[in-house]
Amino acid sequence: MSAPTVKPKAMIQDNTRCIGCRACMVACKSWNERPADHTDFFAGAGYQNPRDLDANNYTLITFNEIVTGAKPDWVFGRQLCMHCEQPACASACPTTALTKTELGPVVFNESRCIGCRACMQACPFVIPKYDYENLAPKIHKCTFCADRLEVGLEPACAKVCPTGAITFGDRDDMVAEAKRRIATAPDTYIPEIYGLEEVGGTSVLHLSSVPFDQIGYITGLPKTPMPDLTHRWLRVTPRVFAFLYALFAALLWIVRRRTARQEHRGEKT
Amino acid sequence: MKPIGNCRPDLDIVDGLAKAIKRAYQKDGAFPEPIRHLAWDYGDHADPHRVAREMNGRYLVDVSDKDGNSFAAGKQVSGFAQLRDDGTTMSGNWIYCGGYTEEGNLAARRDATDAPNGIGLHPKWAWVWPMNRRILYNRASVNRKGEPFNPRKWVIRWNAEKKIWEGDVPDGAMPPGEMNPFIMLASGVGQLYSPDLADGPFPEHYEPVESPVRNPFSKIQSSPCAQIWQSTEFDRYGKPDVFPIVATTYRVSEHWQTGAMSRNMPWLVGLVPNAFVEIGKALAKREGIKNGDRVIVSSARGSIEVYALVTERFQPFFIEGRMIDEIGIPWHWGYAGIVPGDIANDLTASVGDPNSQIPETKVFLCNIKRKDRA
Repeated sequence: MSAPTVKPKAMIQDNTRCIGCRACMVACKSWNERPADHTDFFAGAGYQNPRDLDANNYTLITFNEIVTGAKPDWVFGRQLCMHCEQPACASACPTTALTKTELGPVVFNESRCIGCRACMQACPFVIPKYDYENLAPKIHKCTFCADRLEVGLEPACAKVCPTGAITFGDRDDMVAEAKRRIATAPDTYIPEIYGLEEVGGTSVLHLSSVPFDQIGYITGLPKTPMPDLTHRWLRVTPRVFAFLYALFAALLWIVRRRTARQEHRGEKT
Repeated sequence: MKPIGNCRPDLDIVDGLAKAIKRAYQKDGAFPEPIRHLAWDYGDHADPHRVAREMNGRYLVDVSDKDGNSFAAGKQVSGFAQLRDDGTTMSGNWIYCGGYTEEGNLAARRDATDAPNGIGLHPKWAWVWPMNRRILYNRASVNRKGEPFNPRKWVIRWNAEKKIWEGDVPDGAMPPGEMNPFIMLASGVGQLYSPDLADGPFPEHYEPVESPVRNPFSKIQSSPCAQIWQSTEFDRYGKPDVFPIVATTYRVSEHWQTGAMSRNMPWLVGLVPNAFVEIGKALAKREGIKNGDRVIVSSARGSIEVYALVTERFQPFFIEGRMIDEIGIPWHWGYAGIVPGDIANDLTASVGDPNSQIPETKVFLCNIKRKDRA
C-alpha cells in the first residue's frame, strides 16, 4: 500500500517533439503483452496504423497532414487514456471494475468486468474499447502502466520515447513544466494544455503546435468533472426506484384484485 | 523490456560467440595468444555500458599531465587529447572518446537548453563526435580575431577578456589566428582546387546518370568519372521520354534496412505492413490513382507492384519551365518474412559515386501506372 502522502503522477505528451516513430506503441504492446495487428496498407492518413484504439492497442499515434510551413507536413497526435482526476468511466461502472488509484492511473480489474460497456458510453474521450473478438468480451484501455508506477518505474511509453515527447513525473511538476514550455517557446506551442482543465483535469497533459481539433482531439469539453454532471441526476435514482416500486406494487395489487373478482364471478356461472 | 521469442540484442550474440571462442582457444588452436589474451570484460551478461565505457577509454596507470593534473588508473579519459601512445591509456575508438567520461554516459543526456548563440545546437542533448562539436570546422565562421562573420547567427566567438571560446566546441581550442579552420587538410583552409578527388580538381555540378533535365551548369551532362557497370542485364539506363518521373528511395523508422529482421517482428509489421510508393496529388489525379490502389512502378531495369500512398507531402518540381513529378519508395521489402513485398532496388541504378562508390539510389527515372492500366 502506498503512503497517504503520495503525490499523483502525470505525463506530458508534447506533440511538438513527436517524430511519429511509434516506439511508444510498440513498447505499450510489449509491456502489456498485446498481440500484433493484422493490417493491410495504412488505415489512416500517412503511415497511421491502426485507424483507432482497440482492445489490443492502448495508444495510437495519429498522422495529420496539415500545412504548417511552406509545405504540407505531418503533425502528430496521440490517443491514450487521459486518466481523469474524476473519471466518468469509474463512476459509470456498475461493478467497480474501473477505479482511480492514488498515484493517478485509472485501472481496470478484468475479473470484475461484466462487459456492459457503460464506461464506453461515459468516457468523454472515447477511450475504453471492447474486445469484440472474444467470446467473453471485456473492456480494454491504457493502464498508465500502473504496475510499473507502483514499483517506481515510469510508464513504458515514457521510458522508450527517444525525443523526450513523453515526460513523466508528479502532476504539479508536469503542469509547471508544460506551462514553462509554452511560455519559453510561444512560437512553437499554442497556448493551451489539453487535459489541464478538461473534465476537471486529467493525468495526461497534451501540448501541440496546432489547435487540438486539427489533430483529431475531442475539444469543447466542459471543465466540470463528468461524474458531477451525472451525479445531479444519478443521486435521484433511489427515489425514482422507490417511486416505481410503489407504483408497480399498487398496480399489481389492483390487477390481482380484479383478476380475483373475475375468477369469483366465473365460478358462479 | 525483454525481446519476444528467441530475439536477442546483437551484443548478447557477439558476447556469447566471443566467450565460446575464447574457451575453445584455451585448450588449443593455431596462434591462440591474441584470442586468449583478448580483453573481454563486459560481465557475465554483457553490459552495453561497459562496452561504451571502453570505447571512450580510460587511464591504465596513474598519470599526470604537463599542467600538473593527475589522473588515477581506471578513471575514464575526458577526451582524445588525453590519449597517449605509451601504453598508459586505452580507447576503443578515438571518435567516441569523450562520450562516456567520469560524468557518465553523455549520449543519454536530454537537456534541451540551447547554447548561448541560440542557433539550435542544444549541446547537452545527447553527445556527438568528435568532442560534442556540433558544427565541424566551425572556426571558418569567425575572422582571424575570432569575431563571427555573422554576429546575429554566430557559431563560436572569442571572449578576449576571459580568453575562451564561446558557443560551440571550437575545432581546436587555440586562440584566434593561431590555427586554420579546416584541420583535416594540409593547408588548413578551404579548397576549391582539390587534386585528391577522382572528379576534381575543381567542383562541378553533374546531373545523375538518369535525369529528366539538361545539366544547366555544364556542357557535360553527368559525371564522366562515375562508376558505371555494364556487366549484367540490369545495367541499363532510361531516358526521360519513356521514364519521365524522378524516383527516390528511403527508409521508414519502423523497419531496418531490407527488413530481414523488422519484417519478422509482428508489432512492426502491424504498423507498416506493405511495400508502397508515395506520390503527389497532381500525378495521382493524372494517372487515375487513388490512395491504396495497387500500382506498377517501372524503370529501365525492372518493375515492382506496390501500394500507392497519395500525399500532399510530395509536390512536383518546377525546372526550366516544366513540371517534373517525384515519387518516393521505401526499400525495406524482400521475398521472405511475415510480409514479403517487391524490392525497390530492382528499380535503382548501380551507378557509383566517383569517390565513395555510394550508389545513385536517391535519384533515378521511372514511370508509374495503375495496375489495371499497366
